[in-house]
Amino acid sequence: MSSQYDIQVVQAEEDPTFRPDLVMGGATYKSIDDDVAGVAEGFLEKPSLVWYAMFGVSVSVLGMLGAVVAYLLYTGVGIWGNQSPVFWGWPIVNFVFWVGIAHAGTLISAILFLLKQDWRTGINRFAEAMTIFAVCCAGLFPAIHVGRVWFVYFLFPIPNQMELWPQFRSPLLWDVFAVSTYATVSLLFWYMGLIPDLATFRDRSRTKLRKFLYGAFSMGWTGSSRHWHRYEKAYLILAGLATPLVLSVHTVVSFDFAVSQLPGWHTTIFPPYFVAGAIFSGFAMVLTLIIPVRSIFKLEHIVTLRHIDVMTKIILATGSMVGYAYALEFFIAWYSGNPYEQFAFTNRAFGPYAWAYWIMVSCNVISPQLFWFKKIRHNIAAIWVITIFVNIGMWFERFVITITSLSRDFLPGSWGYFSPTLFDALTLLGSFGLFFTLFLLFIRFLPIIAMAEVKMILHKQNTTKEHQGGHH
Amino acid sequence: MQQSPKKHWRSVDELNETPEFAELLGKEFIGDGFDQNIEEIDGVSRRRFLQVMGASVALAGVASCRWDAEEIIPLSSRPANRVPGKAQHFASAVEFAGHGQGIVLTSYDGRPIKVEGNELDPNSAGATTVFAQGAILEMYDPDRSRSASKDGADVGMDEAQRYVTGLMEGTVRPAGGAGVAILAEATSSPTVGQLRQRLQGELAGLRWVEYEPVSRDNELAGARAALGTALRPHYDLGAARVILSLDGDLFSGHPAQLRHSREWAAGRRPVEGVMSRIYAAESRHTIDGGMADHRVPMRSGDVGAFLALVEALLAKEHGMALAANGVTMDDVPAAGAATDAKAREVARSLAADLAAHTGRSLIVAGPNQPAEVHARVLHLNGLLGNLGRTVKFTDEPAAERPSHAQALADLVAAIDSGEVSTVIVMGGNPVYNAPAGVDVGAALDRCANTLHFGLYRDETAARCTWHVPMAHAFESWTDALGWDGTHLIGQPGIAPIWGSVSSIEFLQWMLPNVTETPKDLVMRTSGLSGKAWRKAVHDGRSDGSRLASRAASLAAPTAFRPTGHGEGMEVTFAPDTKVWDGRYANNAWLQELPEFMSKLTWDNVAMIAPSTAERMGVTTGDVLEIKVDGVAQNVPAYVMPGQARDSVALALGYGRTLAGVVAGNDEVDPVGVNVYPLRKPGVSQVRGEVTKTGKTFPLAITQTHHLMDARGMQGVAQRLGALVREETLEEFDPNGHDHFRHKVHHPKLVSLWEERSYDGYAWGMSLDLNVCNGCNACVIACQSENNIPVVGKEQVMNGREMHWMRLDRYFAGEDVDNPELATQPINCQQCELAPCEQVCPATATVHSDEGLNDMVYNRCIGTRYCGNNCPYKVRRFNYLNYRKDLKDPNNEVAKLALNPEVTVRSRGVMEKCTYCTQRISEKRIQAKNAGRRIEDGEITPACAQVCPTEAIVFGDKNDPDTRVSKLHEDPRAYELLAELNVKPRNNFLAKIRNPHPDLAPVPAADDHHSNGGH
Repeated sequence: MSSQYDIQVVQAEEDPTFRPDLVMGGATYKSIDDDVAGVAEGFLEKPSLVWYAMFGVSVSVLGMLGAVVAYLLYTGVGIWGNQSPVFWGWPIVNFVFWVGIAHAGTLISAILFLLKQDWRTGINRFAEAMTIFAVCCAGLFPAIHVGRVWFVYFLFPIPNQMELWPQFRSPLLWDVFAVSTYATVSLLFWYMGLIPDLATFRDRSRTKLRKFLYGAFSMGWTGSSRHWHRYEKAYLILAGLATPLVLSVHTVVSFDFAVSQLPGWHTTIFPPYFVAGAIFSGFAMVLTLIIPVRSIFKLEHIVTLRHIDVMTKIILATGSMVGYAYALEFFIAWYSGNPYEQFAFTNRAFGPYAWAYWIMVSCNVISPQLFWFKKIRHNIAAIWVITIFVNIGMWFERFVITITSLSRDFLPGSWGYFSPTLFDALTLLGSFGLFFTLFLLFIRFLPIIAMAEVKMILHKQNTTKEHQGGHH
Repeated sequence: MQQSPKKHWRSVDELNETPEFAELLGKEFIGDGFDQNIEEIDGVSRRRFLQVMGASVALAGVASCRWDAEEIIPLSSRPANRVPGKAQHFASAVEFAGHGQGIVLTSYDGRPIKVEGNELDPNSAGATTVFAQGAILEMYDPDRSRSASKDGADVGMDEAQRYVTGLMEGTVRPAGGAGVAILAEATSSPTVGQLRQRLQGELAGLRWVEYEPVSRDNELAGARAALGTALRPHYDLGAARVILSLDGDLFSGHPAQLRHSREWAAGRRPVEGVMSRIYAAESRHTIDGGMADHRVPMRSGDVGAFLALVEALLAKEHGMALAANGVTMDDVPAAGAATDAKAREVARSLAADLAAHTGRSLIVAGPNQPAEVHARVLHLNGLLGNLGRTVKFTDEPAAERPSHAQALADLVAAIDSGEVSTVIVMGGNPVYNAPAGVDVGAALDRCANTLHFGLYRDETAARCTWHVPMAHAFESWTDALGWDGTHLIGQPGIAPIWGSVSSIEFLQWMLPNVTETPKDLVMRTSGLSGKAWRKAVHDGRSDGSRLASRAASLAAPTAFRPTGHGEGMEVTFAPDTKVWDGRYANNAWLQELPEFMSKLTWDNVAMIAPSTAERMGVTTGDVLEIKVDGVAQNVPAYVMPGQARDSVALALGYGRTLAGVVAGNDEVDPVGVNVYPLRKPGVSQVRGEVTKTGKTFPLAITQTHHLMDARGMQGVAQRLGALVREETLEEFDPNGHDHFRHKVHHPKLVSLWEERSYDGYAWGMSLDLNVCNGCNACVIACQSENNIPVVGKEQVMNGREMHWMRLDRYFAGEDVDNPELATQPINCQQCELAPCEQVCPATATVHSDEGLNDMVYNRCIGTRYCGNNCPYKVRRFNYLNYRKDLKDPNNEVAKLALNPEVTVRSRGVMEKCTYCTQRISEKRIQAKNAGRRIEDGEITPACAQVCPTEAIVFGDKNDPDTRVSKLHEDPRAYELLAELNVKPRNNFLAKIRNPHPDLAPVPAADDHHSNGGH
């Protein structure tokens, strides 16, 4: 999948002082508009069969999810494999998996923004969208996973005549707040960034309906300097707000496990370990998605190999952190002298679920280590395959944590072995249907690259070049 | 006699639709659409429940309780002693395989819902067996026969009665009963016995054949051989210091099992220095073996050889030889595990123990052992001076009866020869449970007139022309004899639900001259009247009634030269510990009860030893073909540590084809495999061929200990010492304090929260691991009391069984072919710092000011976080609507078995043991009204109430004088997983084993440090 834009990256490897351009191919403000808006507008002129085929599949899978959920509500959570002692099964695994994926977006948007990492502009819109959709998928699971869905509002602190409140000591309640806050801020942040681009879409719209809708959602954006001033202030504030959330949401999710007293769950390492894992899986998912998209829609000059290279390095770093956390868990289990803890970990690696544990280690610890090699970092196909492995590995990480720990706790008399049912698999598959449906709609109707921000980079890039006097 | 009600109704719904009833309840209660919708969600709504309760009140009126004749009118004034919604308790009796058990029925508004033991019955003394617990469900079983039938078509009871009287007058009486046989199940009922005598007196030619597939005939034959007459032995396990059980069934299956358990427990009090020692030699696991201090697994066929070895050692090393025909060491055959070096080592210590405890020892043999072993056991008990001390004798009511197997074979032969052409089957199910080679079904087909009288339209009913439904013991006036001969009076708790008749009434159909009511007949049998009779009914037994005791004189012993089983596989048969001979097969509680050793539900298996399994390349779930004399059956294998090598243990009672929707009928596949076709008449162990078929069969096992991987086994071995704490009697210091608590070290525990104080009551429980023998009664008692649903085999396989009380069973020791056993009852520990409460986001599980960990079903949304965080995993979740079956109109009657004091849980909520909070509330209200504190012993949770060994004690921890407070200060007391700082209210009392000093394992050097906590 190499293209003419890769030459600079190769050059950079040879000359460490050289920084490849973030926007290539002699792009101009207009060409960026044309290229990015062209993705959505292209559908008007020439309906993409590939898109329709993919959308058809995704919507069908989403419909199947709807049917499964309807059956679930009618019959009860017993359609899944959950049992005693494994009271939490795949739904919680899926929840943590999707929440983890939802991490990359805000990290790219907020933290990298504050750190002035310009390369984020090529991918931030995309990653933010992925975040929102992943949060949608994640939010689905805790809701349908409870035994009596029709009373799920008991989880919210709604004033009521019984004066009954939720239990504020329960990490599940913290979860409700953490995830909903995260979803709200991420959505605002995403929408906020979309406004100038929506205005561009509005201005380019040729039908009345489009003009009206994009006009409504761009909230009267005219691009005046006052607008830009307010916009940049607000964006900075939101970035500041979102930054702690990146760390907090998965920390709180990890509390679901760490605050309980189950061997294998009750460990202080969980918050940093979960956050690292979340970033790891989030970046992997961004790459998994953006690699085909940049190729199909010819955006290689905006999402360049340099972007991908940077992301693989983040995956390598976070993957190594995750591997370190795995090793440290074993060390602490041994060091604590707690026999239950020791058993929980050796049981993970050598017990009945050893297969899951070693899938996790192979995918999460071993496969990203390949990114040490330049050749692999520059091989788009290899990167794509490795990110898929990371996605699989991170799902299994949650499986290992949730299910192996529960299956063998304190009293051997109550030990069990969890087996998933067909409905477990269908629910997981269905969540991908939801994700891809939203994602394909995003491609179809919204600017998948933050045009306004890229233009700022382009401006910066061009002025730097002028100052350097066309060194290249 | 008050006639049976004329009106038969198939369901409570049907009754509800009668205009009178509608008027009674008010129109809006009937066919109310809104009501239906609520039910969709909640299973049984409160309104629906009131309807059912109302229906049962009407039932008592409409169908007429047979105490008083009543009119169908609403009560304008409340009758005395009847407060709607208030429990009443009636003493009654129920027969178990022909032996009476005194019980007390708890009844709400004319509807019995729970069985308890009768404290005044000297046998049960307030405890019950699992079978008695299950009887309530049996009575309300929707599969019970609801009407008489002819050739499978329903007919009225009056028509059936006309047929019987017609048959009697037209055919039977003119022939003087010749050609007529009554094939009856065993009963101890003296009233039935008198009617039988009368019938036989009137009809000299009538054959009365008694058949039970499981009987104590070998014991009777042994007694005849050794004593000259068949006397009934009674064992005093409390007085015996050394007990040898040979394939015994002292605690599971013996008619006096409750008394045995109680007396055995009284002899296991290490703190008071009273400690018996039990040896067991057996092929399959029994509770006797499980509780033994030394257990030697051996084939049943080799047990005689072991007994010979013991006798020879007594003679050789202790000079105690029988007067004549004694066994010497040279006479002891080589019989595998019964006489190998290990067995000899145990036998030597055993002989020394027996010799040192003359008059205070006891040898017993189980019903699977042949008569010669039983006879020898009596001789050796005589030699050891035990007769009259630990073994006492009374008359045996069945002394003259031929063996059951013989009687049935003779009847079939008589039918085949044309001698008998009319057969009336009174109870029992001989078509299903006849031994191999005795084809009762074909014989019945040949008869001109056949009638089946029983609870169900079962396999036997299907082969008879006529069927008459039998009333349940709780529906009729009955009586029975306890094992010691106590005359138990069984008053009805409810009028016959399906208009069926009792055995007494059925016999009255044949005896038109006997016109008294069954109640009067029972009264006449008791010989009581007036106040004394009323007291007997109230007490459930007639005061002072006993079998006459007899002094036994031993005949000269004959030669005893057991040869042992020899080469080849042995197949043994025993009644199942849950469904017995198959009669309780349709009882879903019992089917789903984890078998005490295998923890298997919903099936029977072929148990084989691990070493045998390894040799055959078989693992649990592999299907074996078991072939005996050319007849083969495929049975799934279960690899059972401690099963004798080369011996396959099969459980009877499964593979029913016409039992009902639970155990199998025309539409439902049978549960388990019928092994009766392999069983030879009168023989309990046979030689068989066992081969692997290559097929596998899924089994629902609630505890998969033995299937575990090496890592898991290691984990169990590592922590077992901390969970089930035990010591030998030698190690045990009865004056120690908190010794067992300190077996697990942990740093000082600090609570994260401010701890509550409990100023009123502080409920606590104590569970004694030393005397819990795993009899399972508590599990079913809890299920019955707390409306715990049955979930079915698939759900159990998925780990979703709902029992609030479970018995964890652990094996310990190096030798998988002969491990040590420990049983640990686990219910909710009611932690003061309950981890479940802290994680529930909905505040659905909260602490009461008496220390109960309350579960608020209404508030539970089912996140199941509490279940994850419970270190004891005692929480049970309603993954599906496990009460769906109650919506089936056919199952309306099953709703009557529900306890109205306990919420019926819907799907999606968590549930768990509440210490029977409804019982606590009842007594709290009573005490409050009376202005006093609840006294110790006033409240007994269901599990504690049925426990024959009083292993479970409940009470107020705040009061230092209560039994539970004292037990919490017992030197053996410890809390399970105390190192987690959950502060459980349950204390366990450590298990103390009493091995012979010569056989005691060398204690590992200070091994408790390896069981460390945090």
